[in-house]
Amino acid sequence: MVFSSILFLFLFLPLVLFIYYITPRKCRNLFLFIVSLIFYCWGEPTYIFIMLFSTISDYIHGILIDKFRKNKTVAKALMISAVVINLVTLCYFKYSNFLLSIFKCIPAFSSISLPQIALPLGISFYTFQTMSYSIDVYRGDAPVQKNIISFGAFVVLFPQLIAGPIVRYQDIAYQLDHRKETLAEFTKGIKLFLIGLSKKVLLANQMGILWDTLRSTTEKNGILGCWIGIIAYSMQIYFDFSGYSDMACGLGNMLGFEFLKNFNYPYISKSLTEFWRRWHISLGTLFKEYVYIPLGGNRKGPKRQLFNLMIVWFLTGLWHGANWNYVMWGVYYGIILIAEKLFLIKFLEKLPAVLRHIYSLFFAVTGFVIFFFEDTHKLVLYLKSLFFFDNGLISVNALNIFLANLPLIGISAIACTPVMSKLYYKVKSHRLYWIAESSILTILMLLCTASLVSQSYNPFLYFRF
Amino acid sequence: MSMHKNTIKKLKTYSLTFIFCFFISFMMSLFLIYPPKEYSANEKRVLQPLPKFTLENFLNGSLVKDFEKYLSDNFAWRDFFVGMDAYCNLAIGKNGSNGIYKGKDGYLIRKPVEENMQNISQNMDKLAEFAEKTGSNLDLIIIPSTGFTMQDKLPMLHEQFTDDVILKEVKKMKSQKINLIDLRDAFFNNKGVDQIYYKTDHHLTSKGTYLVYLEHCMKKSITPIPIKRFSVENHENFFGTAYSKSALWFAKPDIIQIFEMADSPKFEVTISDSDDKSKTANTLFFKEHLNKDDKYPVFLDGNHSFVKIINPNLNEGKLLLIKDSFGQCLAPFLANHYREIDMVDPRYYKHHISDLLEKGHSQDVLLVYGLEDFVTDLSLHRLK
Repeated sequence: MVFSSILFLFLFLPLVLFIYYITPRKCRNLFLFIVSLIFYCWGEPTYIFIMLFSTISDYIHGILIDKFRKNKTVAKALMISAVVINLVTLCYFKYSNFLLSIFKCIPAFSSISLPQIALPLGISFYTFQTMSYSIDVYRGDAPVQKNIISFGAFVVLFPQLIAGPIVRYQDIAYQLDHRKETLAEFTKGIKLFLIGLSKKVLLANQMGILWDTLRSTTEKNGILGCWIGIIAYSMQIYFDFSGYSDMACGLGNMLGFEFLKNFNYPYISKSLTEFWRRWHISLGTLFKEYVYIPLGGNRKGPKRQLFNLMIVWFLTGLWHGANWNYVMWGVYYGIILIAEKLFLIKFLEKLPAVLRHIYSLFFAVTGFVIFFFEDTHKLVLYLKSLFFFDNGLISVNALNIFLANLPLIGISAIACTPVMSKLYYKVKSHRLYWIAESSILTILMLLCTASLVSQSYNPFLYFRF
Repeated sequence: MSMHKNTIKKLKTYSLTFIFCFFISFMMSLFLIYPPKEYSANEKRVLQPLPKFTLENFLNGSLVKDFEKYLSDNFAWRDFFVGMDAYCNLAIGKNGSNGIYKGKDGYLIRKPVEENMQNISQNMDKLAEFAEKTGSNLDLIIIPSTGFTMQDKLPMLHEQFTDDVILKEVKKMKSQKINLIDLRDAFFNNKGVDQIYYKTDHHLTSKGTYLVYLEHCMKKSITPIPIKRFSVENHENFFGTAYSKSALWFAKPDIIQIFEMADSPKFEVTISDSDDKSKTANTLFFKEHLNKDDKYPVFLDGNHSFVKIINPNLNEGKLLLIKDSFGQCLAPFLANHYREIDMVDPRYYKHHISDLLEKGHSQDVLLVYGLEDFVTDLSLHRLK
């Protein structure tokens, strides 16, 4: 089930909220556990067992690690076992096709047939979450959770189940059993949810249509047309992902949880190091805490640090998908970030801010070309059309499409910056501010509804037979 | 006093909470209260019924899909929200968001089709093959799209209509046996005088169709019936498919005209569908449709796979008319010149079309297609 659907908004959500609040406090985790399973089952009925398996495995590992805490070797072995089980699960379902297709390139193995394994929904998210729990318990960063229902509710909690943010157990351990739902939190959640929904429905979807339209005519657009296309995609992916995170955090608030911020206006960064501190923060934190620092971070000399960085970026790329382009995308950032660390930042700091913004946006946007195209041929073709004048400046059609979308692109560009947020804090103390806030968000809610309903509107051009 | 103040403060702080909760639960209650609808007049399609739960369709995902479709098909005030979305898109500059441009003078114009040369060449090959095999002379009429002919009615920002390119390609590809009747000059010369296309529908008006008839007569050396001999009936409030698709509910309706001769012969019309059920009538105009939402089927009862029209006043002349929906409006004009017209719609006809031709006789074959269908529809492969 996705948040931006009529089913979720006008059937699932009202029912869940209503029943949640009439349920006695001590049964609320159980209720959340059950409705989250329904939420997951709706889109992925067969693979639910993998998620439950991962939950039970780490639940048991957590308890055992806690029990054998005094015996360091056993505790460590248990922690490693938890990590291995999660990684094997993830590798099997996400990467076996990819790994086998690499093996296939070796002549001796060319006859292996690729198994058809569908990617279970959200597996990259929940395996990382459960894994982080076992590690946290081992390190003493989080208390052990003895209640399977509470632990289950943490793993399958529907707001963050499918697309993050990746909530670490240590961040919500206390909230699981001691959260206090308040009307103020609930209201804050609604606001965040509506902003996220608007980002997804009103901006991301529209930018997606623009990108699809321009992409289908890559070779005719002209160089500017292609840049507009990939910029539209960069906006689409940002609004899609950050909108989803906002909705997740908002729903969390409505249920009494407080998740950490996942995006912090990445497109206003002045370097790519900064970009990654603002983009998908929960993933960055995870790789830093559980890969980079354990590998030695920057404590083992500069050479080792560069190696560690490269490993982190290789894995970050691979985490996004089982294909070479994601690996390339990760390595691309690895190289840029290492360059920034070594000399580029010092150089950049001497430049005027405008140039630093242009530099960051240029590499972030170009990076998304690599991120988007799984087909290397198409990737090369698109990159070529971005940097060579073979097809002129801009075609008539691309120009018309651009102009028709210009107001929306303008709004999207503003929405990428903290301008609105700053304005919000400025007028917040005004006497009539609440009217403006409520009416703007109500209008956004109606517009999202209209857009969602409209997507299903599908007139048949010929008389029915 | 302070309690009163407190209440007002709460009202201010939580107004949005109240609105949000009220809205989602209210829309849910409306959905639960209203009985499900079966048919949408605006969309001209059967709506999704409530799917039955079985383990199989749950596991393969079709239950989920159907249920979500059922839900959105039955969402309360659906037309209101769809219209709101359409007008908002228009306001923000995205004219054409539902595939329809809001043009000048009330014209709702379909966006151009993507020129798919592969489809065109496949269709042209089938036509050539058919003409070769049956030994018949094939006249081909491709009706240019509204946006191409009525360029001056398009909004400022629009995608290019490539009818010229497509027709040029068709001319290049066509075999010698195919005779292309080009309407562009006739349309451009007359568009200032008459309304050739409907404003809310992609079809030609009866006047526009009369122009097609004139061009055809000229090519076949037939003396056309002068327009004065027809008596014209005007029927108001015609909202066509472009209107439904655009969801711009405030657009003004068209007038649908019927050109009928006072001394019209008593035609014998047999209409059959793909399931081989058939019915007969003595008129070319099915006026009961004028009281319905969809009025275009007034011409020969809409799209049917096969229609036979006999003109008892004539002794000879036979025409095989292969057509999409543009043909229904043209056939009544042509029926005055042929004893028998076999009108067939390849999109629905399941048998071999060549079997409709008498063996050994060279016979007139006319293919009438709108340009959009000619580029996108591949059912001409039924021309066997």
